[in-house]
Amino acid sequence: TAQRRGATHPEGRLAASGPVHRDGPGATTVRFTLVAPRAARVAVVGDFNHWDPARTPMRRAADGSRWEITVPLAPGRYDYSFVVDGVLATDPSAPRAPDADFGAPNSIVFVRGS
Amino acid sequence: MMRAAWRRLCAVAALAPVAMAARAQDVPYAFPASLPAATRAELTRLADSARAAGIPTDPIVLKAAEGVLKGAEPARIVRAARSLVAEYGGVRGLLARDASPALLTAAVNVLRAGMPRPALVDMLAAGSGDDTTLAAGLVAAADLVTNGVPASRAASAVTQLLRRRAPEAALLELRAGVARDVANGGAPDAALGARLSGILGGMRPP
Repeated sequence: TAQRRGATHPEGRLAASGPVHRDGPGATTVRFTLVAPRAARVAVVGDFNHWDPARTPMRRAADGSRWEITVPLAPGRYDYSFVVDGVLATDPSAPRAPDADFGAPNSIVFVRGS
Repeated sequence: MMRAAWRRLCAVAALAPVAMAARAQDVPYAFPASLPAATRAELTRLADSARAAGIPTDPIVLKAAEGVLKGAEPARIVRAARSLVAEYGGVRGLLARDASPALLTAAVNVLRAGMPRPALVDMLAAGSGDDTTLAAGLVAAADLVTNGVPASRAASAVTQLLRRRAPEAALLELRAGVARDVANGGAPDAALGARLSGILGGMRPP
């Protein structure tokens, strides 16, 4: 299903802490976080999950305002975005890449080799 | 015994055309099912031709998926995929025939980040022929530009490190260090200068 872009999300300005990496034996995990207290559904989409919101839904944290998900990723550079109640939103704490193809910029996460 | 063997042979012969037809119709690419069949067929032809030219096909599939998520019209998705294949084709000629898919993708990404083609050529020429280190250099350059470092400065820094035979770790350290400094409020150009000096200072003189 196509997500709306250019729409104003009721959350207004979004906040995030940026992707956090943790190296483990043979794998690196990346934790994505987004502060969106009024959202009902948040997902992360990107090159690592075929841009499919159903594949990586985020979970609301115990504080009720943050949404989190930890994803195992191979080393590399990935474009990604959040989908907040059907609206695309870049990660405010990560570098952005312009999208000349479809007009909606992406966020970038770089996963180093362990 | 002979009749049983003959029956098995006949069964295999009868099934063979079915199996061949199934193989011919196989779509080996996971293009989004929500795209019209004609669009998927066009993307499949494009991916087939890319594969024949030694171009990785995963980025084409991902581009189509990204387009679907962003609500792009099928024609626009095909245009974006064609453009991506053209970019891969453009860098394919700059690299060795056996260049790794990772190096190809890194070269395309550095151009997409805004690096001029001559700067890419300089960085490739400065590499020692080791795909992994060269790809790390290109990834670092793309990320530096994404973090706000002017493209010419990013290319110059990476070219310098590649000429000095800096290891992959040094290139990744440059990228990560500048990203941290910028995230903490530092000016991208100044962060690059400081980090590059630190890395070069720790290397043996040429």
